[in-house]
Amino acid sequence: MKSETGARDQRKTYEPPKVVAISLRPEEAVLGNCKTMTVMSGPVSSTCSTTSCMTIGS
Amino acid sequence: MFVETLPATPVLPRLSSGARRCVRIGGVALALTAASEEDLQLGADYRSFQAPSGDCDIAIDAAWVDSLPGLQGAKLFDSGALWTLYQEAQGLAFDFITPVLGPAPYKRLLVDETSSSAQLLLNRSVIPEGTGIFPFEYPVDELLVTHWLSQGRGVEVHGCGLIDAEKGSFLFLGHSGAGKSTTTRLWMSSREVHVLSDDRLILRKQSNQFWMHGTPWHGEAGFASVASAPLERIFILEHGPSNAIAAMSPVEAVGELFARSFVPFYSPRALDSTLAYLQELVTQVPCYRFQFLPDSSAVEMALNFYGGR
Repeated sequence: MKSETGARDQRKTYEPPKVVAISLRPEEAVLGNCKTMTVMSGPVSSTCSTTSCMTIGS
Repeated sequence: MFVETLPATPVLPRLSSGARRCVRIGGVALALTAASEEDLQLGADYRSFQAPSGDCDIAIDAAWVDSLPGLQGAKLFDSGALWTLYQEAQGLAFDFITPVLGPAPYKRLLVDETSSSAQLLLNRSVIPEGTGIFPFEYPVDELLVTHWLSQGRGVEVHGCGLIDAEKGSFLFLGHSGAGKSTTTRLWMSSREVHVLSDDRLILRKQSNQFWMHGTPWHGEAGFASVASAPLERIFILEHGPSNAIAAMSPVEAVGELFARSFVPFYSPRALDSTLAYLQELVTQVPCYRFQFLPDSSAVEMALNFYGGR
């Protein structure tokens, strides 16, 4: 049988909860903008290079 | 795995059945019907994602209407850009408006509560005659898939995923500018790899294992593969002064993955479900923070780190 002292030693040290801020990117995450607005350079999805896409802005 | 119980809402009525086309993205089968083939055009990126007709997870009917009357339901969310979401009696309604075509919605997407059937209504009074219609054009495609996935079925993430012929699969997650395209190019130039996507992937659990799937929604480097691979490890990409890899706690990993996921943020049910999904994922797949230099040493770092585990 373990002694009370031994059981206490085996307990994990208490770590207080921590608040960690995680950065969200709403302009990317909500799928609201054309990718050309969020991607700074380079070619974009070909769905964004179709005639209708360029015309109607999706 | 948490799978929420949804109300038994009847699917939306069928509008048209003249032509049908199917695609499969991340194991999600979408069937699109319209009056004619002309209304079913797919972008070039979709060609390898076309699938034989058969059972589908999401059925979409596309049809022209003379006008789109104002919606009566409560506004749930304004994307701040192309679309606004309303709660209507039959489900969700996305109205798409662009300054190019004026203040009226040029199309409307109605989705039932289960996200398994949808109607895409194209406004003839707004869309110029002769305009090619690409029913899946962004963001309709991703909205439909992310809604369906958010019911405990998976999650779409922002990252690049590749399969190294020798070392297996690597998933690098990152916001725009974090180095996804750079990472893709570095691995392509120095390793024998198959890139599933350089921008967006779908993560799903199949046979008690998490898998990553390529999507048509590629990034700057233009990689969009229909292939998939077991998910072996996840790195959160960050530019840094040197190469460094650090393990993340499950809580930290869930937060970082969530920040790089595409989720219906306006749906508490979807948020709960997605967080539960990610929680299960991080208990099965190791997650690391990866500060990297934009050169070949970053590839070596990831490979050696893997080899030392």
